[in-house]
Amino acid sequence: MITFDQDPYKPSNAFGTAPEPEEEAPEVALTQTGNRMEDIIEEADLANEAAQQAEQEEGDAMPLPPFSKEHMAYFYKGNLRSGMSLEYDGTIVILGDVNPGAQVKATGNIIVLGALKGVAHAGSSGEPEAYVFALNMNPVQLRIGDLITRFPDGERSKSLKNPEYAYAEDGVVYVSAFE
Amino acid sequence: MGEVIVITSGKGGVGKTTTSANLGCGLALSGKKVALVDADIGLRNLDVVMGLENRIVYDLVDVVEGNCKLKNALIKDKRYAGLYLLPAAQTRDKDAVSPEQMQKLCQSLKDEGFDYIIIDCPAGIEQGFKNAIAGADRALVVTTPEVSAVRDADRIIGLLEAHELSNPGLILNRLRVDMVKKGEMMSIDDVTEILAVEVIGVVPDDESIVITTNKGEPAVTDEHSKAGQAYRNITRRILGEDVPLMDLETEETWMDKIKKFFRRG
Repeated sequence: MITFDQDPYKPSNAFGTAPEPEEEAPEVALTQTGNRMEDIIEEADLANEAAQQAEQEEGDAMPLPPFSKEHMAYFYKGNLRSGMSLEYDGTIVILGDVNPGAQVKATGNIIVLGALKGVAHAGSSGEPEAYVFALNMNPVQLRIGDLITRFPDGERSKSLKNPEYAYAEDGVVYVSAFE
Repeated sequence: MGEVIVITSGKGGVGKTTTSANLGCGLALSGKKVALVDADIGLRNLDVVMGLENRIVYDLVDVVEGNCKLKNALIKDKRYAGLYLLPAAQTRDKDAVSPEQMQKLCQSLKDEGFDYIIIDCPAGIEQGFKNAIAGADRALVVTTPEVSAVRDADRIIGLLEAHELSNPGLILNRLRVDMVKKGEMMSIDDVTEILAVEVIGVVPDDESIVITTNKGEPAVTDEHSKAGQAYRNITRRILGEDVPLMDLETEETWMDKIKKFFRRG
């Protein structure tokens, strides 16, 4: 059980402050070279349309309340397989595994409720405050903000299935157990 | 009502054609009417593995282009009742056929009264793959316990899901139990942990496969072959029977026992 002692919508102090709020409709791109995952894209389009419609109905006199990217999360249920890539302007939550050869890229944080075995890039537009969380952290490569890191050679112990999170501090990426 | 099953893998050389030939034969031996379709246009092999190369007059491309009737192109295998082969063209390439044409072809094979239509998919994820899966109702993914093959299988499963062929069955080919025991080869669990799909069969590495393949007689007909037994089990699973995975333990020879004794000491 994961409990938040703070407002879950605000990043905890350990991960720094939230990036500047933006008033853009979120964009989701799930690509698979040579193929479209149409249902997912449609879903995103629907969300966008709905947002645009709401905007139009309310007119310019009623602007949408400002929101931070941290408030926007994209949920993906299922495994991300080799060759798939998931991109989102905000936080990504994956209910499943990220297999080797798959890529996840988010301007916000990345939360994998499963095994992370592919490439994850949190804070992809350069935010060093972003973090990556996974129930089983074993990525091919980990990128946070402008930093790129990889795990030491040799497979990490398979029995090591504790939740972990990775964050950047002073230009170094740290991975520590989630408690 | 026929069922179209595509046998695919992504990576080449893992045993798609051998698997297609064996499953086709196995299903025919169970009394089903089976059509084997070689979708590997330009690099056809299935006819060679089946030992039917010298009987090809018309091929898949001829059927699609309307040069002949479907019945004329289907080669009847005289050894097994109910087994037919639709060979691929050797002088053309994958662009000679479109996915729509393959869908139509699969439908006309179903109309011919075939119970199972098995499509041998070419390696890769390009046009040939798209053609092969276009008319399929079900997919079987073949992989060997190697990181490269498993990685490609993972990609293929993703692509199949994108084409609404979810929950493919996995066939783990060329498993060597002795190497798995020593930790030198990926085990069934290691593979399923990555791929997360249902295992429909495990085929042990078996020399007899090479021999039977070169002779043009599928291993499934060999009573003594372990791989043949594995393919017979897969056939029964396709037919809907609940068959447990077979015990792949090789029997200990007296030499092994002596070695073990000394190691213990």
